[in-house]
Amino acid sequence: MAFRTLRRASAASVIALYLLAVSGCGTTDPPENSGQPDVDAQQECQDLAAQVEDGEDSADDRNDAGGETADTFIFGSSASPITLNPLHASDSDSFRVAHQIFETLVEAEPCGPGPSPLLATDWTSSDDGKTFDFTLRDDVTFHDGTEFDADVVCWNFEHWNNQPEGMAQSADITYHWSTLFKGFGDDSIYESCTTSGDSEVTIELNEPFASFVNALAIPAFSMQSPEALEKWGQIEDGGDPTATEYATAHPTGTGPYQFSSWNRGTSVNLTAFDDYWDGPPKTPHVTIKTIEDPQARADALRTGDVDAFDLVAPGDVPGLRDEDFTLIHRPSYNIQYLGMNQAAPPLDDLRVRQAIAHAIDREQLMKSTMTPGSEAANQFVPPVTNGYSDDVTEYEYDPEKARQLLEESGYEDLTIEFNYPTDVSRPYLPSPQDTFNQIRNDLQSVGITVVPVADQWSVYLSKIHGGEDHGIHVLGWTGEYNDADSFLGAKFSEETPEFGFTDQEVFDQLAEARGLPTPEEQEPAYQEANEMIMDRLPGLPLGHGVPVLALAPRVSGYVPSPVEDESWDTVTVREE
Amino acid sequence: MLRFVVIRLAQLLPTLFGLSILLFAWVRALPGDPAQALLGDRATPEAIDRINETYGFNEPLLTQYGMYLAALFRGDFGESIRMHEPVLSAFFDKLPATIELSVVALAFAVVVGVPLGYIAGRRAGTNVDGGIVVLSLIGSVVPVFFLALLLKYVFAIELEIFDSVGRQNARLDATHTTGFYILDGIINVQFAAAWDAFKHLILPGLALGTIPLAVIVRQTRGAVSEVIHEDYIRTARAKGLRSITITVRHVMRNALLPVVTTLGLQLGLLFSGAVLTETVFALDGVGQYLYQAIQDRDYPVLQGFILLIALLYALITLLVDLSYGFIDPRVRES
Amino acid sequence: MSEKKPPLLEVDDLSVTFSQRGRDPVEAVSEVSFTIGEGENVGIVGESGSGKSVTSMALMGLLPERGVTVGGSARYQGKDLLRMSRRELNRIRGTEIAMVFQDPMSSLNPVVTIGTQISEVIKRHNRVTSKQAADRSAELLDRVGIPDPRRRLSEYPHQLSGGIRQRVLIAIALACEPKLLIADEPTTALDVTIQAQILTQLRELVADFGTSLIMITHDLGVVAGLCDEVHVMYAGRIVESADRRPLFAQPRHPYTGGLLQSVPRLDSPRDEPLEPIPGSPTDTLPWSEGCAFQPRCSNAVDQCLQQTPRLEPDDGRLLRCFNPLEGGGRDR
Repeated sequence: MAFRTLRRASAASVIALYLLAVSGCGTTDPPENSGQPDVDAQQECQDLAAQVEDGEDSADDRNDAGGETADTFIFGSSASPITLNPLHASDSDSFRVAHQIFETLVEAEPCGPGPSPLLATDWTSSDDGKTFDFTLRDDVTFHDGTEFDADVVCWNFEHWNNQPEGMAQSADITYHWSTLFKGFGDDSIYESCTTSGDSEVTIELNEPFASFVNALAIPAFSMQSPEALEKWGQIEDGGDPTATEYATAHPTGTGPYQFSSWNRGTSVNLTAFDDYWDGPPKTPHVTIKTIEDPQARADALRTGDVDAFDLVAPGDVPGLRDEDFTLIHRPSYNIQYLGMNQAAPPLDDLRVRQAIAHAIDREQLMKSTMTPGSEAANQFVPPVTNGYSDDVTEYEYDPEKARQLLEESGYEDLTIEFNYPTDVSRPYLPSPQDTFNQIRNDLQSVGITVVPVADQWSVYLSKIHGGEDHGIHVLGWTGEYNDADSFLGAKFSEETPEFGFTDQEVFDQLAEARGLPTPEEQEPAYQEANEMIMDRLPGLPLGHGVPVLALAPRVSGYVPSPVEDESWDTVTVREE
Repeated sequence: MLRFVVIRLAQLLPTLFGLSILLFAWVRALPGDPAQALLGDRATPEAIDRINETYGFNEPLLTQYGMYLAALFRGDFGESIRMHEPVLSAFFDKLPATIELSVVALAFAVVVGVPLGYIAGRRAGTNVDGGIVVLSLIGSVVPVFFLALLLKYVFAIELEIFDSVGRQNARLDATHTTGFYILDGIINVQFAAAWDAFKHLILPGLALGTIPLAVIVRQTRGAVSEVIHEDYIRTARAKGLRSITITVRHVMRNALLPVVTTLGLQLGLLFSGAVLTETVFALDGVGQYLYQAIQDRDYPVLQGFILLIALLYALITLLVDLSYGFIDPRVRES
Repeated sequence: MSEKKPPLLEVDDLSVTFSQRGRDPVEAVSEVSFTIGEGENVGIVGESGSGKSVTSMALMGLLPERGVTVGGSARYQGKDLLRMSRRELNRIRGTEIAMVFQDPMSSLNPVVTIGTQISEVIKRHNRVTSKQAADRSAELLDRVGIPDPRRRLSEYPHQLSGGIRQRVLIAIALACEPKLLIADEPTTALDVTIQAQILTQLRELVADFGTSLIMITHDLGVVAGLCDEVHVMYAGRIVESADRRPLFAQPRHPYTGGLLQSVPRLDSPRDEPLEPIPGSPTDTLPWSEGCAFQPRCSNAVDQCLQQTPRLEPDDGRLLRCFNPLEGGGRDR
C-alpha cells in the first residue's frame, strides 16, 4: 500500500508546486517604479539623429576597433504584415515594411511629426488651402528601373482616387484615403493633379485641407511604380486588393530596400537597393521576423534571434536595461485618456467628472504604469501638435478637492463601472491592467467605489463604441501626422456612444477649425477647441506614452520617429 | 477494404456538416465582433457598419450560412478577415509546422513512454511502478504552456543551450520546398539547416510531448503487465530464448498493439496543446494562427480551421483503423 | 521396477511453496522424487490441483520468481536445474529439455508467423542462417505430420486448426532434438479424435528422436499406451509410483483405483455406471493432518486421520497409503 500513498503524495506536491509558481503571476498591485532614470525622449532622439547625420555613428569607430558589420538586420515584429501595398494597409506592421521599400513625397521630420522633404524637395500651399505645388527630387528611380517624375505622382493620385468598388474602398483597407479624402471618385475632396515638366506637380482639392502636406507622410500615400502596378496589381471586380501579385510579391517603390521574399506569417526579407538616390543602405539585408508573443519577442532579443524589437512592455524595461540592451524611446505622439460616459449618470454632472480628474495622480500613473519618459497630459493632443494650448484648465492632483466636489454634488458614496481591456497592448496603453489598478486605487481613496468590467479587446471596444452601457473607461489614440484633427476629430466632432457628449459648441468649433485653409490659421482655432474641451471635460487626458524599442548593443544608427517613420538605411549591426 | 473506406468517408459528411453549423453559430455567439477587432481603436460606428456591409455580416444568418455552405462546396473556405489570406491556403501553409511539432512530440512520448511503461508493467505493484506512473502524470497535471515557459526559461534563456523562438535561425537563409523545415534541409542538402530546425523543436516537442506521454506510459504499462502473464510468453521462456528476444518479439509486439492504434488519436490531443506551445515558442503553425484568430474574431479562419482540423483528425483515425490489419495479423482476413 | 537406464533427470524431494502477502503459504508440491532415464517415457497423473503442472514448471524454471519457493533438487546430467543461473538454464531450455504446453492457441504468439516461432528456437541454440532455419522448420512440420509445411511457415496461429497448432508446438519442442521432452496435458484441449492422432505421433517421434518423455495428464487412458512408468500425484505428493503394467493391472492406492474406475471404456457394457471418485479435489486435508485423500477415500481407516502416510516401497512399487487396495480391482 505504500506506493499508493507515494503516488498520491507526489501528485499532490506537483500540484502544490505548480500553484505556488503561478500565484506569482497576475499581481493586483501596480509594479513599483524601481529607480527608473528620467528620460527625455525628445532630447535622446535629437542626439541620435545628430549622430547619424554626422556619420559619427559608431559603425566607423567599431570598424576601427576591428569589428565587421553583419550582413543582415533582423527586426522582431509583433504581428505579420497584412499586405505589402501600403495603400491598402493601416497596421503598423505593414507600414514598417513599407517604410523600407517605399517613400512618400514628404517624410516626418526627425523626432517630430511635421513634414520634411523626401521625394519632394520643396512645396507651397495656397491661401485657400486647396492648391499645393511640389518640386520633386531628380534622379530617383524605382526598384524596377522606371523613373520617378511628376507624371508618376499624378498617376498615383489618380490611382488612389479611383480604387475599384468593393473591398478596395472598404474602410479597413483604404482607411487613410477614405478618412482623409472623404471618399473616392467624385465623392472625394481630391480634385485634380497637373504636371509642369518632370519636376513640378500641382494637386488641387475641392475643399481646404490645411494639413494636407503633413498627411502625405503617411505610408499609405507612398509613391508606387505605375508600371509594376499595371503589370501585377490588377484587382478583379470586388476582389481583394491585398492579395494581388503586386501586394504579395512585387511591391515596387523608391526606398533603400527592395522586396526579396515573404514567408507569410514568419518573415519578410528585403535586400538593398543599390541604386537608391541617397546611396545604398549600410546593411545589405533586412529581415522582419514575426513573433507574436511579447515574452517570446524579448527572449528572442536575448538569445540573438533578433537584433531589435518594438513596443517593450514597461515591466520588461528595467530587466532589459540591466542586461545592457539599448533602449530607444520614441518621442511621444499619442494620448491616453479616461473616458467618462455622460449617458450614465452621475457622470453627466460636471462636478463628478472634475472630482475624478482631481482624484487621479497622473504623474504617479505615468511613473508606475508606463515606460520611462512618458509624461502626464493636460489635454487631448500632445505638446508638439499644431493647436496645443498653453491655456487649458488644469486639474491638479488634489484628493481633498475631489472629495469636496463629490460632497457638493451629493455623491460621497459614488459607485461607478470601470471598463478596461485585457490582453492587449497599445503604445499609449501598454499595460491596461496596471493602469486600471492604479486609477482604481486613486478613486477608491476619495471614496469612489469602482466596479471593474474587464473584457477582451474587441468585446471591450464594442461595449465602448456600441452602446450606452458603460461607465468610465481607459483608451487612447496614436497620431499619424501633425494635425489636431487626427486626435480631436474622431472623438469630439459629433455625439458618440463613447462619451455621450452632446456639446454642439465644441462640434461647431471643430468643424470650423477643420475648414480653415492653413495650419497657421488653424492653430488658434484648435487651441480654443482644446480649451473648450478641457472645460467640459468629457474625458480626462492622462498621459502621453513613450513607445520603447529595444536593440542589441551591436546595433547602431537607428533613429526613432514619433510616428514610426523609421527607415533603416542608416542601421549597422556589428558582427559578433 | 475499399468499401470500408468509402463507407467511412460517407459517414464523415453528416458529421462535418453538423460541425459546420455548430461552428458558424458558435463564432457568432462570441461577444465582440470582427469589424470591431479589425478597426481597433479607430472604430467609429460608420466604419463598423461599412465593414459589416462589405463582409455581409448584416445579412440574415441563414443567408450568410447559405453563402458560406455554397462556397464550401466549391472548395472556397473564404478569407481571413484580418490577414486577407485565403483560409485554405493559410491552413496548408501553417500545417507543416504543426505536424513537425506534433511528430517530434509524439516521437518523444513514444521513445520515453514505451520503455517507462514497459518497466512499470514488468514491475507492476512495486514502488518503481508507482514512481513511473506519477512521473508520467506530469503531462496530465501540469498545463502545457506552463511547462513550455519553464523549459524555455531554463534551457533557452538561462542556460542558453537552445534557441528560444521560431522554427529556424533566420540568418541561415535556408531553402524551403515542402514547408517541413527538417525535410527541406535534407532534400536541399543543407544539413545544418535541417539540424537547426530540429533543435528548435526539441523544447516545444518536450513540452507538448508530456501530454501523450502519460497516456502512452499507462497504456504500455497495462498492456505489458497483461501480456507477460500470457501463455505464449511462457512458451518463449521454455524455448530458452534471450530476454531481449522475448521482450521485443513476444512481449512488445503484442503489448504495443493497443498503444499504436491510439497513437493516431493522440494527435487530436496534441492539436489542442499545440495552440499554446506554438505561441510560447513562436512556431508559425496552425495553433498560433488559430489563437490569433480567436482574438480577432476572425470568423472565416475559426470556422475553416476547426473544420479542417476535424477533417484531418477523421482522416487520421481512418488511416489508423486501416492500419489495424497491417499491424495485427488476426484482423487481416476481415 | 524395471531396470533403469542411466538416469537423465533425477528429481529429489522437490517442493514448491506459494506465498502471497497476507495469506498462509500454500504447499503446491512436496516430497516429489522420481528419475527418468534416457529414452524412457514417464507419466505423471493426477487431477487438476494435484501439483503435476507445477512440478513440470518448476523443472523448467518457469515459475514466477516472486512469492515462490522451490526446494529439493532436480539433477540433469549432474547439474541441479533448480539452482542454475538464468544463463545456464537458457542454454538447456529449448535445446536439451523442451516442453509442450496444454493450450495450443494461447501458447503461440498470435502476431508472429509459425515459421519464425519455430526457427527462433533453432537459431537461438545453433549457428545457422535464416534459410537453413527455415528449411529445418519446414522439415519439422512435415515430420509432425502437417500437410503443406512450406505454406504454414508464413501463416499465423489463428489460421490453423487446433490439432495443427498442437503439432506445431510439438515441432517447436523437438526442433533442437532435446534429450527430454515434458508434455503438459498436450491433448486436453483437443477433440477426442485428434487426441489419438497426436498421441500416436508423439510416441513415434519420441521413439525416433530417442527423446525421454515426461507425460503429464489427468487421463490414465493417455499414459496407458505410452509410458513405461507412472507416478500418480494427489494434493502435491506422489501417492503411487509403478511400472505401467502392474499399475493398471493392480492399482494399490485407492486414488489410483478410483481414477481407473472413472475412465469410461469402449468395451465396457452399456449400462454399466461410471464410478467417479466421490467428492472433489478441494475436499482435501492438509498432509500435515493425515492423509490428504482421506475425505474421499473409500478405504480410509482411523490411522489416515492421525498420521501422515509416507511414500514407501511395496512389492516393486512405491506407495503412500495405510490401507491400500487388495488384489481385486478390475482386470485391465
